Amino acid sequence: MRERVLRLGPEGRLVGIMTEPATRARELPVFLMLNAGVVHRVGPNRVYVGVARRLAAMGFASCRFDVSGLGDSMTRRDGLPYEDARIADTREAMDHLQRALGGDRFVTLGLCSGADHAFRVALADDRVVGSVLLDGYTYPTARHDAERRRDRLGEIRRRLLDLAAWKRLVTGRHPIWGMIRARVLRRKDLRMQFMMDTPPRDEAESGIRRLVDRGAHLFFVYTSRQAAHHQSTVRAGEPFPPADPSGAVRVTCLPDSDHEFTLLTYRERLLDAVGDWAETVWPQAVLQDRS
Amino acid sequence: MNPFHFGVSDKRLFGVYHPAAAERSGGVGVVVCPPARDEYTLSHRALRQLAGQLARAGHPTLRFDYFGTGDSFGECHEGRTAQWRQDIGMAIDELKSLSGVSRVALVGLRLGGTLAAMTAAERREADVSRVILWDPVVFGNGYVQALRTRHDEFLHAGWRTAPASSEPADGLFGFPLTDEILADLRTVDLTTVTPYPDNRVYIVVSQRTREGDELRRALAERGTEVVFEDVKGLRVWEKDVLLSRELVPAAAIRRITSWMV
Repeated sequence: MRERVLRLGPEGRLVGIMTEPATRARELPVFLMLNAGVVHRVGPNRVYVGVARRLAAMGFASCRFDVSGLGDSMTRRDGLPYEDARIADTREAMDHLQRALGGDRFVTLGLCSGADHAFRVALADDRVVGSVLLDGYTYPTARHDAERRRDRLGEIRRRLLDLAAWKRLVTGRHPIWGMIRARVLRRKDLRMQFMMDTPPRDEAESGIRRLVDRGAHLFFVYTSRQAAHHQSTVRAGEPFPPADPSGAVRVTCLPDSDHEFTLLTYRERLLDAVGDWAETVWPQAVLQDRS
Repeated sequence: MNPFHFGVSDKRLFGVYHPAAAERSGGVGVVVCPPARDEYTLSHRALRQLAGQLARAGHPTLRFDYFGTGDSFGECHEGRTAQWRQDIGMAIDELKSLSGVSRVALVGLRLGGTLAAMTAAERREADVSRVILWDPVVFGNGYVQALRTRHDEFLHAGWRTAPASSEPADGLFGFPLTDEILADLRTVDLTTVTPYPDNRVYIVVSQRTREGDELRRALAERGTEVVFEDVKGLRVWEKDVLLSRELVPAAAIRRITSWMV
């Protein structure tokens, strides 16, 4: 395995790390890891580094990079709004990698707002042949929402009796203070930019159909609340993402993991899940690297 | 700004070199020592801003990731404090070779400050000119205890569908806590670390703590001059819903930059 720094895009504005296997088969796609929220390219709890190294052990190259204005990357000079800038950045990164490595096929991978980014780049650029969407879009059923509200009431009752929660509240360490501060400071701009901008369900479904028709493969991984959202649609008989008999759309749930894969056990399971999916879709990868 | 890897082959470290602004060059070099574990990610933006400000003020500045962290080589469980002190030494050498400076100041945030002080005290080459500690970790035991509290709060945060518990194999709040790492951290006691260059240390805090006061008392007793300021600023390395990662702790950055003049 080899890791090196790359400067991507015009004037080398974007900073990335390329992780490559000892021998890379040119026909295999290159994975692109996209910022999760405002976390720089290593990902929350360094999860992207783990994914990159696992993929390299299987024969896949990957590049994790910061879009303009995040991590170590510079801002763009053309003033594009964030939603368009991150797509343009990623396409420029693909142009660079295509010239440097010779491959023209990519898999986009992202967590949370990075999943939204990964999906939108896939729609915008035919070179994307796969996407790994970690806690991407969900559309919980109305029934699930109602049940959740009831659960929340129970949780609030339980917390009223929890001395530690009161202590956190009084000492200012309770997460509710952050939410209040965010409201007071009206930081809706941050919410819009760095949190998931979920499109209407029919729009997401038609996007998935377009990608599948194009021959792309999609892998949805859901944790915690997002896993419950997904499962509620399965129980209702209207799963999102829609069931796909061809196997081009796959789903894995890690309901006991949190959104940022904080517990190492689930981080390891994520690496296994992504590795298994990549091996299923590109079986030649593992064989190539071992030969 | 120039990102690159440096160091020996299987232990290469990721660094970003910020050359001094041409019109103000001639300042002393600065190595920025980041915090560890969860605090590393949260303070990335703040340290980039700090390095940028120092470079603009004429100081060639290098920030970097320790072995087993960030974009450096190595896995998380391989991150040991003795290695990280060696890494700071390597970063000092690298900055000297990149910029041509002969003396370097160390600025460290949280555990980075603690490790910077330890490195300066044990380094044989007399090339560290100043040490600036930014909300340093004073006692390793307290640091581990705070980590355990954060981990426990995280387990009870309501995201789980399963009972709130975890196994040792799950690590502690996002990163492994092997027996070796635990033993490393437990031996940390900043009140016993001296000497500092010119027998003086600069400490900036965002909030006064009992441990911080104890550190200053201990240093005074050992005859070390402490230049201290409580800027009452943002504790960006602490997770705060929506806010922490986006904001820049301007007051602390301003104070640190002013101390470098």
